Amino acid sequence: MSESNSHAAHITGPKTYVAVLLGLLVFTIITVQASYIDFGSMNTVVALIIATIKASLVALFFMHLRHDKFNAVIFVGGLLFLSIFLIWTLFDLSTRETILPSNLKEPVLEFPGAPLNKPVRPSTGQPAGTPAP
Amino acid sequence: MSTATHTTSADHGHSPFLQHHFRDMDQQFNTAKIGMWLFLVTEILMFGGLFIGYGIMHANHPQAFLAAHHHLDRTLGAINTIVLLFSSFTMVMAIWAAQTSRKSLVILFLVITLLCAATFMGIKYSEYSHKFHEGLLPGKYYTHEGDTVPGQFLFFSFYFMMTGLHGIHVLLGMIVISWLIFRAVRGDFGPDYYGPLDITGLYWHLVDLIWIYLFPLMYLIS
Amino acid sequence: MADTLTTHGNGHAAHHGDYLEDPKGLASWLTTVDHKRIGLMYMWSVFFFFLVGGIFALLVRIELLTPKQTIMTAEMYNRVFTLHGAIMVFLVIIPAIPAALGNFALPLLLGAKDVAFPKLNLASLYVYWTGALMAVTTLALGGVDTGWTFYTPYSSTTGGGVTLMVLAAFVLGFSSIFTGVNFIATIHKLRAPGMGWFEMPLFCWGMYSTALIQILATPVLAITLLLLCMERVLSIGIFDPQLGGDPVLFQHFFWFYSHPAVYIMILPAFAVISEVIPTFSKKTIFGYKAIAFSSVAIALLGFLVWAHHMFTAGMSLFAGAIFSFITFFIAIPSAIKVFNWIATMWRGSISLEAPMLHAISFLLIFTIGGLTGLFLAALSTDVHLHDTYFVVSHFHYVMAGSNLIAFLAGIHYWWPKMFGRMYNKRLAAIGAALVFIGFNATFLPQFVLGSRGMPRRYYNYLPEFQSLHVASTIGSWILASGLFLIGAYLLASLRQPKGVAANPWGGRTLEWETDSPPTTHNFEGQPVLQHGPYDYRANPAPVGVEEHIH
Repeated sequence: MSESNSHAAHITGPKTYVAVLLGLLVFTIITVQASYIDFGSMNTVVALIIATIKASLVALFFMHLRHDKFNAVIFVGGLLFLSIFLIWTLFDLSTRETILPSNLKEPVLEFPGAPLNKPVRPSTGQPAGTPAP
Repeated sequence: MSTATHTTSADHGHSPFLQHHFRDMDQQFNTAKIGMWLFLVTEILMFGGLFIGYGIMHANHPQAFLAAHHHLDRTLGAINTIVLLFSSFTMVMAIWAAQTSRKSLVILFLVITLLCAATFMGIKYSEYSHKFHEGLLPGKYYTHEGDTVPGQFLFFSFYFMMTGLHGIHVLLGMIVISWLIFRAVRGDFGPDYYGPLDITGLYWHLVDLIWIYLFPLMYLIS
Repeated sequence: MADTLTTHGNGHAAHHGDYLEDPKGLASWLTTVDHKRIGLMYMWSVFFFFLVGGIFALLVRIELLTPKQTIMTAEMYNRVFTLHGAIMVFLVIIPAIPAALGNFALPLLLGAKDVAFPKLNLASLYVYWTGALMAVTTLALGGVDTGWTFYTPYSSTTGGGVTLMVLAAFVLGFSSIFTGVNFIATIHKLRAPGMGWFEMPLFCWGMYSTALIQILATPVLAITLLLLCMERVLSIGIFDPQLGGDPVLFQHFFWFYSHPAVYIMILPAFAVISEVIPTFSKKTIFGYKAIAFSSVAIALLGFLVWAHHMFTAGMSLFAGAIFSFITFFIAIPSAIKVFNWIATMWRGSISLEAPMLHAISFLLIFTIGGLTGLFLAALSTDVHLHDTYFVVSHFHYVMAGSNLIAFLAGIHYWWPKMFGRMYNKRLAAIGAALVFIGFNATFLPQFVLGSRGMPRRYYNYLPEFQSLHVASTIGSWILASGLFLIGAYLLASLRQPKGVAANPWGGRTLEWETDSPPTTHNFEGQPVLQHGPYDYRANPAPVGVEEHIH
């Protein structure tokens, strides 16, 4: 009803969808291959950039955000607040010593739920007994 | 009284799917879509919290996370990624088929989507049972022997929480898609009414989006 | 509670298709998708839990009458104040105005037939009941002694019903999210024809801002509580320093939700006050856009300041300084609102009906609560005042005082619309006075106690603090007597026959255009807006208001 529904105005055809799917598959292969190459600390960044490209393809084409400005604002707004959470938390975490080493000067011998029943120096990830670097 | 009330609301009854409090199908469709997007934002923030927790713990324990991720099978992860991407594709194709009145194609594409989801869960199940067998479990249930790097249970805590929560979303999606198949067989959907397909599609793509990030973060640490 | 409602007024079916009685029966209430009925069921639930939480509060105050043990042990005291906090926050304050009054009033104010997703709305009520049941069940499991903030690592190691209580809060979060999704979609899509964004009553702006926070913050609480549960059940390690986690990270996660959540508590209060003050001043609201945008500004700024709860938690000084600095900005939109409300009252023709009395006491109490917040926002002062009764008193002024008094204002304002009956106005004035006096008598001494160093969450204290504690306890009894009086005359009013006019207060918003109580579908046909929400120029002396003071 309601003649020529505005939401029906943008019918994307199968050709676009197939192209997008192929793009997504290519990027999946690229990201797996890239993980075998050593970019040093950049590996995670590369993987996240590729993931973001794939996510954008899905959001813009499959979720029709190209034609849906209002809902795109909602979506981007959600991401914005997530980034506020991350960045503001990092203000704290990146500008203080991690709390753990100071209250674990000595390796703890027994604690509830210890994995492997072996004490761990959490700050270094090294087994107890090895000297802290 | 200064409002002139009572414009006629004679739009009722044109579509059997129009709910009483909407003026027309367009309003109903757009409202449902906004509602779904708002819900997706809550999903993004919920998973986002987990991703941030994962990132911080990863940064604090890089060796443990690197060592632990070698227990995951990249090939299975990549196959699951492809399966899920393909199911996203068939989902939009089902909407396209409804928009262009190809009713049998709607059913076909929905069934393929459901099968892809089932494949995904099947592969996930085999991965999980392998981990259970080896004692690669979260927290205090981690019993894997012979680790050289301690603290790997932290990785599996996040692995199970994140993929588990994601898997629950896949299962919920499968239930909804089954219901859509039932309605498609009944012949509900067509160019004038495909709202449920559209908003379920949005949900399904979000599940896909989350996996797009989970895959490199879990399987491809280097 | 629903059946008491339906049985009231049997045989007085004065109105055609009145929503309270059409259709009849308990089953029709439990399966209803009518926003008005859902709002009422929320309201009765909130009343019930307010009673429960209030009893715990009185127990806390009685324990604090003497410096030593009075009626309970230290462990018992921990459980009582935790349950008081958890019940009041999650079961009373957060749903009070949005879910109860908002559900009832929002679609009426917008000229809509219902909220956007009526079934989701009903689901939110059932989710709320489920969460409430889980929270109450913890009592049988030995209670919870962590405080409502569930700080790790204590909460991940202590016994009792913490896991269940945390899951209850998780479930209640969903109820809040459902309401938020519903309200935003409703405000965007179901406004009456002709109602632009700036013709909406300000209540809707307040609800919109609240819903924004519910959507953006609650999911993070959900995941935080889930992580805490997993920490307890599986020892996943994220918040436990012994396993390599970071307990301060829990506080970041928790306050990213819970600081915005204090605006979930206060923005709806602003929303109600913005309706009540112009109606009883018979004057156009002063600075409509300033009030509307300041609500949104508070909602958004609220996301940037959460760590001011953590100044003494081991956070870095750098982050502390940033959070302290941004926190001061919250004062600006809050002050804008207070000044605009006062400017609205200035030279208005004020009638001191019960809702207006509560609104005026809100202005005073909120101002005290807001200004004492500035002491705590300042990094250096907070180090001294942190975890003292100064903090307790501050957040009671803002959360309990401001929110619940605004809730009372809203209840008194819309009660005739909800039930078609008027309460006893003389008793209502006495009740408002008792609540105001009792509240201040309870909490003003606590500011002094806190600044002298009385720490919060202790069941005993130094003898020199006793006189102020006694004053506070006596204040709590005055407050309780005022609340009981209000409950009594409100219930008594339900025994009268219906017969209130459609517009008893002479309001200019759309809910007053329909019957009291409204018909099942709110309006006969679709209302079309023809004047602004606070347009008193065309009709300076509306019918139905007899007693003008001034």
